[in-house]
Amino acid sequence: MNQGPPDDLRAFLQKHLIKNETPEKETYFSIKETALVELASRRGETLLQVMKACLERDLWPERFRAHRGAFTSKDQVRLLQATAAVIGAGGLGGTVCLLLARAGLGRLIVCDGDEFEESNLNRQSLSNLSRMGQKKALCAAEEIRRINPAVQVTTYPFKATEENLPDILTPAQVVVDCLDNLPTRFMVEKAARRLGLPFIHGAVGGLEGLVLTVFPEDPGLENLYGSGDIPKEKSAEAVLGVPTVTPALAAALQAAEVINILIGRPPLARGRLLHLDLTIPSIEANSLL
Amino acid sequence: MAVTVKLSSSLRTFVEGYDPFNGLTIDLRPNETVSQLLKRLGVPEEKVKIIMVDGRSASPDRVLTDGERLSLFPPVGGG
Repeated sequence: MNQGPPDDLRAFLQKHLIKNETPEKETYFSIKETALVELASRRGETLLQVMKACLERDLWPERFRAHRGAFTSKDQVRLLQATAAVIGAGGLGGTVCLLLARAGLGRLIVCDGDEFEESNLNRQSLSNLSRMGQKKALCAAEEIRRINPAVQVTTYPFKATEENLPDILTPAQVVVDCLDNLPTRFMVEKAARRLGLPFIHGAVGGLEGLVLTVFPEDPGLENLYGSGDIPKEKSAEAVLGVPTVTPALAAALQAAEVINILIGRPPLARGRLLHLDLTIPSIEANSLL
Repeated sequence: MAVTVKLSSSLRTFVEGYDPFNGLTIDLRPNETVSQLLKRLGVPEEKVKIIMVDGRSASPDRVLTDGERLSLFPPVGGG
């Protein structure tokens, strides 16, 4: 193990650095994953630590190079150091996991007690024929590692309950509600509130969806839905189904919100119920505060 | 004295030929509330979970005024 002085890093990377130029002729450097893996092994560090060390010198891992411009290297470091809990790994949660792994979150916590079945194939991006009968949370972890092995994944392949939620959510900085029923959503919101964590609600039915971000001091789901004891069969999706594209759109907004919160940008949906409607199409913000 | 009414998802099934892009333009009766308007439209109030007037949360007894935009949502819970 050769730890060396910090700027050994730049010395090692010298031969691996890729020179890039912006349209304004500004030069910056990026590094391929193979070099990062080699460096991690030499320094006895994790891939994540090495990515962070590079970004702190404004050297971009190739996998994040297309973030440059949208995010600063500091923003990217914030994402690498962040943890999100994704509750539900179906239509919304599967896509949220994939997006957050690509965005470069350092740690993802995934909770879902269900197994994949054929009726999931129309919309759940983690499902495929070889995964029928397999636990969704475990499939999420497998897929996240394939995309970005730097992400630390913690799985809970069982249902969220009042008892286990404090343990599941405690390491997170943000909680993403990707469930499929209101009673459990209310339970997760309550647990997030108790832990002082922002909660990003997403729900879909037909070609429409709703996204709302609730900070601990904000009015939340009760303000929208009353007591929350609404059974699945009374919800819009029981009548209109959940077609392929709707969860992908809502999940993209939820993931965007996670990123905004983690890098300190204004949230999109705090105190504003976003109504996504693919029949028009439109995304409308309705004020709740 | 008219309002625009926007119905969401399964509530659209109660109004035949509903056009999501334009919504409905409804002439108001004097002091008409959201609840009364729902009855007139044939949308069962118990199916409506979220009521918004001009993008702000409102209650069923809210009296509507000229030019307002009423948005109505059923419970949505799919994931």
